Amino acid sequence: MSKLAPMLPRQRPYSFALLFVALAAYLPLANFLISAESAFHLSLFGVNLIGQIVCFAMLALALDFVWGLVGILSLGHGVFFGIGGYVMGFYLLNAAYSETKVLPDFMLFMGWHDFPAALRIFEHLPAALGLGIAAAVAAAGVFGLTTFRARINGVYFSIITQALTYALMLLLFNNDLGLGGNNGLTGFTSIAGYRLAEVSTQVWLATASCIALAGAYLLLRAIADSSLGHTLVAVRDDEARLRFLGYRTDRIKLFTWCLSAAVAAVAGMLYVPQVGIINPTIVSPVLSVEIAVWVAIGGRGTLIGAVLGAILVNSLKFWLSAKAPSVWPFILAGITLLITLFLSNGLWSGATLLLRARKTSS
Amino acid sequence: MKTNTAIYVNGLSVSFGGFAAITNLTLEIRYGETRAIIGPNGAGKTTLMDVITGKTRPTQGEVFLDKSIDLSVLDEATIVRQGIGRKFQKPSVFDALLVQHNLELAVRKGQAYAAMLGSRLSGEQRARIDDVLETIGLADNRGRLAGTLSHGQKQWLEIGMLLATNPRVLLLDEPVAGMTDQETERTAELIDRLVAPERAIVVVEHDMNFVGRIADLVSVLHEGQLLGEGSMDKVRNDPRVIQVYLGR
Amino acid sequence: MTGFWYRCVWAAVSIWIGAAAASAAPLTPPQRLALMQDFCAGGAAQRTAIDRLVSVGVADDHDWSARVMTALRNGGFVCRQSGSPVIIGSGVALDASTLQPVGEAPAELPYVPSIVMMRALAVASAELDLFSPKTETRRAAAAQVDRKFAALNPALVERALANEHDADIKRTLSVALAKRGLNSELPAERLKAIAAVAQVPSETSRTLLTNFLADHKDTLDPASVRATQAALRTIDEWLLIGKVCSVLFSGLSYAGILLCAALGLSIVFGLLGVINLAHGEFIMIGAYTTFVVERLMQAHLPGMFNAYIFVAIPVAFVVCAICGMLLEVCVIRFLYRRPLETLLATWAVSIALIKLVQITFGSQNVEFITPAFLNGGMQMFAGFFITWNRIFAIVLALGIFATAYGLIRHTRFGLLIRATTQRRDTARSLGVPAERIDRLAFGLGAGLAGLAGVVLTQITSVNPSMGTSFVVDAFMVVVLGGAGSLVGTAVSSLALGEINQVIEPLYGAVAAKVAVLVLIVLIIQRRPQGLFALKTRV
Repeated sequence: MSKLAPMLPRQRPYSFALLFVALAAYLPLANFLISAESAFHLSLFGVNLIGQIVCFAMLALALDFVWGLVGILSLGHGVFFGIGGYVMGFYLLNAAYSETKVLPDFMLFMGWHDFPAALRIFEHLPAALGLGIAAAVAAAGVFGLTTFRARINGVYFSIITQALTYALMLLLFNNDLGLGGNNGLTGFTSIAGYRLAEVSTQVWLATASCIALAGAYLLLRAIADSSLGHTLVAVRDDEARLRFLGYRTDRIKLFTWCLSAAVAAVAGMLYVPQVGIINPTIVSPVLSVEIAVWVAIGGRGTLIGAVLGAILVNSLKFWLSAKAPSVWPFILAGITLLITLFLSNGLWSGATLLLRARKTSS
Repeated sequence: MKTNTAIYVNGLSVSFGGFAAITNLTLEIRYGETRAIIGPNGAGKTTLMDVITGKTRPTQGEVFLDKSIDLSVLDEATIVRQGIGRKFQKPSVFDALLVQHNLELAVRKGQAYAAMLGSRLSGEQRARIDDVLETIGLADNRGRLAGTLSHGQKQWLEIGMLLATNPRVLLLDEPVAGMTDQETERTAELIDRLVAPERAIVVVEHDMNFVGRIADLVSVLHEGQLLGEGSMDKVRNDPRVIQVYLGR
Repeated sequence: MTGFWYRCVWAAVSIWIGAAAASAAPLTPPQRLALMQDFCAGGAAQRTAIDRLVSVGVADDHDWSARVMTALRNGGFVCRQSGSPVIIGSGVALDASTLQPVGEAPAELPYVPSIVMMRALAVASAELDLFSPKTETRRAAAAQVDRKFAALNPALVERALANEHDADIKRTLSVALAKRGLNSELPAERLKAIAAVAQVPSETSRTLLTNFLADHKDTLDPASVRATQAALRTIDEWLLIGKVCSVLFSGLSYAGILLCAALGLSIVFGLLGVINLAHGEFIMIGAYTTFVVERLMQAHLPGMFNAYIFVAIPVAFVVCAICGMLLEVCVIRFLYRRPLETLLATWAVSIALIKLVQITFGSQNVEFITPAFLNGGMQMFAGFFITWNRIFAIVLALGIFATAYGLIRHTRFGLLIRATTQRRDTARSLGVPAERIDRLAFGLGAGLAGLAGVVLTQITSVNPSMGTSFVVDAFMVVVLGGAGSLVGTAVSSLALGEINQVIEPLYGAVAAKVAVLVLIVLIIQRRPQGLFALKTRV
């Protein structure tokens, strides 16, 4: 990435968040108030799709924070997304059980007759939310402590994060651990008392996702603009120099790493009730690399670019997977290659450079 | 007790594998003094700096700050905190940050990051930054991206970043390498402004005019040993030094 | 009482065997006639005649004896007043001495054995069958002998054991002998049997002795009990050694595969600093190339089918090397010194390749026919069984390593690679065509990965996404061993292969992966460039 490109546009820096607040407002309108015949109406499917994509955008945001701003390329962010998602899954299992009194298949397979006490800690939504974030942060903390202290950087670090996702995926695939096994967690019925199948629940979930995305963006932007943000850029560009100035760079990295994990976990927690299922493929190594691809395509280091990249790629994926499923990998590969070869700063950076060039020339 | 000795090196020997970089070196640098260390390449100048900053450990001998703080057992970060600042040959400023933000980073000296989130600079810190900007002559450029500065300006910024930490000992490794004559003169002026009774300045350089301009005392190193020491004139006329190094 | 009877009979037979062993020629018709007439004479001589029939069958005239025995049991044997007895079977009447067809069926009634005689004939028949040329017959006979272990004739069974080459049948016969010995009423025989069982440590012998001890714990004398316990301890030791060797062996073969997979990666990473996420797909392409070669040879060169794996080796190398060079030309060389972009670009190529192969060959596992010479294996000793396909993997891996080492260390090409890896700009200023070296080295790396794919076809399942799991493992090997260092790659593949095989059966695949990760983090901390760093400057 060009070291001269400043991270973020100077004027009206926070207006981007408004976009998503507006979207959040639009969603319930589009579904409830605007009639089905209008072009502006959104069906349940449409709302749900938007909600899921917004969750992915939040995940990309989390990755861009550590990658674009601090220079830590994580190819394992799926781990934190997955941790949040699985915790939410356990909460939803609790909710489903208290409603239907039917144990999920994987528990019957384990020979359990009752809902295990260990999973009952996720019985209440606030506890589940807190625990989900805490678990992701803890995992991030342990990993970050060992690797940042050991001064493992760059490409080696990225490979190790891939190995980590692979290990977690194997763990979740194991049918004997009571974590759902290769079928994952299914059979969700309601969340906080609201039935998941209801349109209104899904609309509010999607709305919540948009608000969460806006909030995450504002938070991360604020940090990036603060003096702490300067240290982040310094870590990215010349960590040794910053250390020489007396900064504990491993602690700085740990902080951003854990914060990013928390954001990713929240994204996961919002994602699962909208998609209705969670299984180990969510922590597959391939998906974790794909997150980096979204960020790269959109433009890393700008936060906005990451969001845009995630939205663009996932929208394309949904659209094309329906029409021509066997073509999608080639399209994604093609786009990635084009971006890395010709527009390595991503689409957003390219667009802003173009705008700036046009402004200076006029 | 405040002695006047800043850096005290006694009987220092450093060898890497079989190679003796420094052999039995003794020197003493006082506060308020500007010392130049000269010598051909491979003489051990950079190694000496490495030992003082803790990057390399002595094989034998002692190196002290203030004659009381043993530098051979402290780690690099601690030595920095003790007030020894080193400027490397290659300018390493943070290109992606503004000039003033570079200085801000320096002045905060690794302040706890949680506090940095919301904190504004204290008045004292702000004054310090302004001060430094004046000293290094970049006050007009404070809002520029450091990456857009010229080579000379980057060097000054880096010196400025060191200054912001108010070091007791300032080690400058070839500060005018690659500079134009004009920039070299301005750097000399800058170093003059840095002289203070509670500060020792050590400069490693090859440019003899520059050395003559700024140094109080010159130490000549050759093959890891002290060949001669004294004022620039004395050293210039020392036959041993002439034989080995100066031929100008 | 019957037991004693049987023992007498078998004692007699064994004497006969000894005698019969001296004469190794089939009986002449008059000799056969004499034997059968003794039988037809009836009375006590009948049993002796059967013994002789068995001994003759064991020694040299097995086919005739077997036929007579079958006829005797099935009511197809007719004693005649005068002349040779006749065997009637499936409507055909044969002269029992000459085994030639006779004109008309005899007038006399066939011999019908008494109940006692039936039992004697059954056992005699089984013993005879132990020497049948047909494996199935022998197997059934061995099972029969095992069931009636108390009545078997040890000398006969031992001789059968000596002649036998089928491992299963041997085992059954040994167990039968052992059971007989263990259950003997003579302490000396028991102790001998215990010692004999301990000589051949295996799960079977362990079970045998454990059951023996359990069944007879109240009635056995202390000497036998002690001997059995000591024997069990010895067997357990051997089984443990066998298990350890098994684990080491499978670790070795896994290390061999890791080595092939990681070697190419190490060279490319060391030289170019390129993280090639498509490396796993080169492995996969190598495997699929082998598949194509196999099918082609099956169709067009069936006579040489078993050599398909040797044909596949150079073909896969070339195909993958070309793919690698194509990748370098089209993508990698534009991304020089941009490792993160390279990572993403190669990832893009890998997903495209996987989809392409999926479309062409389908996404299910592809079936391979193992070449005949790689089938099966050899039992080294208790619990330690080596399979030929794994030996092949190890041998091939060593060969590949030796070739690569020779190439890198002793050829000009290798020298150029090493120079460009260590000091790229200096090499270029000396006239080394760095870009061409990059291309060829990338091709070499891809080709080596293809060879790993060839080896893998014999060991694991082949499908379009097989490469993805190997990429992670291969990278771990390279990170640990030091990029660009061949010896480092070898050492770390060995280490990681063994660790994986030791931990996985005990604690699962996840624990193995985590253990490897922890190890790597610990070592990288001390030596950031890996165990055998090629570039010593950071």
